[in-house]
Amino acid sequence: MVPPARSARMDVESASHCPLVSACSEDDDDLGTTCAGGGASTGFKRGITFLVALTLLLLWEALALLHVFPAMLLPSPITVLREVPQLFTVGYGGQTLLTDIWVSTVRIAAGFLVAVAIGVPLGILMASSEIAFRMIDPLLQFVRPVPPLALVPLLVTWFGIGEVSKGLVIMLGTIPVVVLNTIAGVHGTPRQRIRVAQCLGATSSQILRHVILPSALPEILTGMRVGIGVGWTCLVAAELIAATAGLGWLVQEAGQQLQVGIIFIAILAIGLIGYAMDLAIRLLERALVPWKGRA
Amino acid sequence: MISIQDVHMVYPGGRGRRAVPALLGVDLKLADGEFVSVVGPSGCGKSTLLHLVAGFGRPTEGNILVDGRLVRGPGADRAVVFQQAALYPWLSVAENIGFGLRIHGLRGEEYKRKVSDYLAIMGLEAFARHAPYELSGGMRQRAAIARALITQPEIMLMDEPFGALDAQTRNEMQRFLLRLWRTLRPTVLFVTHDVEEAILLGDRVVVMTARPGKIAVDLAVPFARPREWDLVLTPEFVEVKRQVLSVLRPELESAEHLERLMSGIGGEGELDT
Ligand SMILES: Nc1ncnc2c1ncn2[C@@H]1O[C@H](COP(=O)(O)OP(=O)(O)O)[C@@H](O)[C@H]1O
Ligand SMILES: [Mg+2]
Repeated sequence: MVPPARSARMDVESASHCPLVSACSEDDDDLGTTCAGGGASTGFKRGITFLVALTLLLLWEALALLHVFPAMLLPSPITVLREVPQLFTVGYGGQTLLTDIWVSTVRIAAGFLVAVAIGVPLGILMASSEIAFRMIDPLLQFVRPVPPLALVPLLVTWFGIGEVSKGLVIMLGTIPVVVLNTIAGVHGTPRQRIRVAQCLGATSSQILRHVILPSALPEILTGMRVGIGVGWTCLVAAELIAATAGLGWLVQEAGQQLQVGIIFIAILAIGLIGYAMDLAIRLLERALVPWKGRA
Repeated sequence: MISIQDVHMVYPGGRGRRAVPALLGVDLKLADGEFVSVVGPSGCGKSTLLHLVAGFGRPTEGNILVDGRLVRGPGADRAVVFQQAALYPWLSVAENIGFGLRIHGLRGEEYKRKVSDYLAIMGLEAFARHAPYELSGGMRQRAAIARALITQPEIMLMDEPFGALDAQTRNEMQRFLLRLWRTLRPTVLFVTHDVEEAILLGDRVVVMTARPGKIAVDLAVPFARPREWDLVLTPEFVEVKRQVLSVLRPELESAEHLERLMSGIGGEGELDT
């Protein structure tokens, strides 16, 4: 993540009155990551992914069959699979798997949306005002390296075991990422894009809305993508420590009863949901910034 | 009317960097509707001069007046076209061209009519809905010129606008710009490193010295308009080119000399002359 570049060189443009303007770099933003493989080899590459997954499953099955661990500690994939229907209908620990998935998903969705609603404007503010940056950045830099897990006891003490502390954990994980990426996006706005608008008579607020924000959007979305992953991890961790429902809670609960199969399923669900969220934001990216890496 | 009066520009140094004197007393006047080309060795301060006229910065010393008023910042009376088109990738070609109109609150029929007028002038009708990154370099630059011109600025500042184009496209764009200029008649300050382009397009060619730049010579171009492309083949043209080059060559050499000196001391240094 990029703190605002305080270049030693003073520019011609430093005479400009908009602080956003003077902070922007000359280079174009390209974060091109999407590179489709060559036509013929794409099928082969997909096949390899599938093959690796299959090999891992077979390895697991083999380990289980060979009784490397007692069957109770390492059930075979087939045994685990057999437990799934029951988890959906009867559930475990008083609620079905769907309830736990729902609880966790609503938490991450709500926490993430609030985090973005706070993080993006905060990032823009910090990128445009050095005073705001100097006030808020140390806080962020301080919060970031502290594992959210370490904050959970504190949050639970203050806010109880309920949704507030879950939401706060997600936000603590997500907001710094979103803020720092937003700042990087704003500062990465190519200077000429701003100058063009200035020459057309745009005001600072018009430049912010019509030039800087769209320019920063790819970075903001990257921040959202990384941020939701961090938030999800934070949430599951928080649920492990203090919750009465949710996938993290399910792992914890099943762990205490040595229900390894259920732990596996819960972990699988955590992974799949994380993957799905990432995919959703990538789709959003494709829809919102089709120019990413091309302009 | 642009009046550049004894303009000095020094980029302040600091943190281990020497201050860079970029312009050393530039005097230049552009009459309304005049087309003035500026050539000079790279790094001599051409862009600096153009940026100062645009209002992206203030000169260290001296004044720049536009129609008698001191330039204090960028304004809609002075359009700028850069070497890179810098179109907004989130807008279509038509929206890019209409950007300045929207900024000023123009909507509806008039907006549509103006945008389609300019799309037509630029030969971009078929690409109105395309994204900028789907265009060729020449088309992009035409769109950028349209975007700059649509608000009808009195002044156009162009910084090597065709520098990134291939020779063929470059020729087309030169002819195209001349036609456009003849109908709209803005005052043009045109920076280029191509001497032929400077002569072919300009009413005057201004040659700058190596950095710190000042004006070495200000030459009136004696050719009537409209000028055709084959003008460059005539002996008269070659003679003018010879005149320009006779001033420019020594400057190019001294710029090279300076560069070699600088690379010898790590590229950070600066001559104290
Ligand atoms: N923002 C800046 N800060 C410091 N030095 C600069 C800056 N912009 C340009 N310069 C220096 O000023 C000199 C003139 O640059 P420029 O006007 O871009 O030249 P040209 O356009 O003729 O190639 C160069 O030596 C360049 O390195
Ligand atoms: Mg230049």
